[in-house]
Amino acid sequence: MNNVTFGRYTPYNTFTHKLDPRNKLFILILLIVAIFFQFHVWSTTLLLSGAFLILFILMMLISRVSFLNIFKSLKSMWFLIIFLLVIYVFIPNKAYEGTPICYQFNEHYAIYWASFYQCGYIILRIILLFCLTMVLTSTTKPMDLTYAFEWYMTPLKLIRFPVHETAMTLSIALRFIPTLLDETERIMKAQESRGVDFGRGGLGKKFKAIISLIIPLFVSAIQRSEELSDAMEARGYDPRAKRTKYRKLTFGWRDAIAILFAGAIFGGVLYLFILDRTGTQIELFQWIFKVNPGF
Amino acid sequence: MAIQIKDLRYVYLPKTPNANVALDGVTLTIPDNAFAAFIGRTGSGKTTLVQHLNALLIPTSGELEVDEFKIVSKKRKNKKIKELRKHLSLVFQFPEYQLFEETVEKDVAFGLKNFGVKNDEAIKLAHEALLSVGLDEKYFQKSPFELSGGERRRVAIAGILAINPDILVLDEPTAGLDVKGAKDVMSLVQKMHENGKTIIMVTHDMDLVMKYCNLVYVLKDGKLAYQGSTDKLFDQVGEDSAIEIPPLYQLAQKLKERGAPIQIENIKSVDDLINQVKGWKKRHE
Repeated sequence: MNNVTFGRYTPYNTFTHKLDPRNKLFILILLIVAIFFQFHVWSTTLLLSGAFLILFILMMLISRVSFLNIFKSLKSMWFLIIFLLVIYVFIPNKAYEGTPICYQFNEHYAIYWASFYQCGYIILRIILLFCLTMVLTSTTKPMDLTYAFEWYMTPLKLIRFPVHETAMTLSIALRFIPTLLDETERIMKAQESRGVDFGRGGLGKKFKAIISLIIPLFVSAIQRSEELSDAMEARGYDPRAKRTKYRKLTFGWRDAIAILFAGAIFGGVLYLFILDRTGTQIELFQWIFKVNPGF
Repeated sequence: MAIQIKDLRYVYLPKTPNANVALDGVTLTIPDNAFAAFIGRTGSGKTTLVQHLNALLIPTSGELEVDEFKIVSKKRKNKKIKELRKHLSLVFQFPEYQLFEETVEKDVAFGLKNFGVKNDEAIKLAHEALLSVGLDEKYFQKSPFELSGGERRRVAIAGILAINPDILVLDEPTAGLDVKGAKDVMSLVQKMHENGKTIIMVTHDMDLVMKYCNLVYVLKDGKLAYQGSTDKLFDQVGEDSAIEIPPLYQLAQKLKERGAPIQIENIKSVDDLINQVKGWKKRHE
């Protein structure tokens, strides 16, 4: 069960840990949008992606996120990568026509080098997304994250959307993930003591093994939820009542620095993108290194 | 020696900020046919230790031997784990939560079938196990979910007994049971012990330890604080320990201090004390 620890909150005390969760959520969205801008000149897109990768690695270093997790997640994504590669390389695309050819089957069907580049770029973007969300989830307590969500959804109260109820449901669900994982582990061990082998065996045996895990898990989860709702009612919980908060979210000087930094990056990329779409060729590579990339 | 543990160390979530050393250099031996108890405060590592005994947990370092089976810290090197689990069975705390089949007899037979017993034979052995825990024919076809808590516990224990292990490990078998339920379970365990099985029990209940166990292991913060016979235990423990000396033992001790010729090591229950006092009185008259 230990491979589920991926992206879990780790209680360090770094710059990123001290940021306001609302701020972190906003910065996350800004940076994700920034990753997804694509330019006409692909060396520019690649260069920016590389810059983002370096930035995110720095962010991970500051927040003390373990790099091992990234490699682990890549390992589990190998199927997706192969799938993408097949789709991109073998499905003909009009947009590649006229670009260098890797292998010509016949006059109608060829494989272009550009398709490999496209696929590699998609994978790079997925890795970038991974790094970002990892920084968020491993530096922010799940509870703080739901408070941030609740804060952003507050305007929806005007159209009578049950904001508080949604946030409460979310935070209870998050709160019980580790509990249910512990429960799963406990039941697995109990069934293993009765000779169940969760790793090996044919399909029928595996099915039986899973059943022996899932039924007790459901029974205890339902029982637990009933107990929890009773306990909440016993303490006078009323979803419609106005509630005060024990923990106030505060916006400090660190948040100001972080948002200014992220805003500057986003603004810069957005400016380049607007230039690109209005006709200027953005040869970022050539501007910086004074040479043509030559491919 | 049924069980030998050498310098066992176990760390939960190693190499993370949440790392927690649950066991630290535990070395002990448990002889054949013992009725041993593991005691200690919550979080002292009792449950972690017994989960090593049938390789549910693999030690971070150190090793243990259960009869001919050997468990080392390298996961790949541990073989015959299934045979080990047939030889040594573990009844978890609140085992009633592991029931899942549609009838009681099927659930008890489930473990047997996992160890390769044929269906008819498994059902027959399941019936025997159910009868031995005091559940008769009218329970066989019931769903485990319509039984009471105590009955479900007995079904779960029957599921382990049916496997017929040579060593039985019970994690707090009486927790959450009423007085009669606890007594039934313990007399069942006692019977198993008299049939020549080695019993290892994790418990908080000192009365149970005094009444049934002949060997005690005290764990404190993941280390072994005491191992030895039960009657010496209460003499040696200080006041700061997790162990609450049972009132019966205190009474016997006080009587002895006042000059009554009482053999404390022979006292297992109230009846024993009464008999000794009566015998003493008779001799006096």
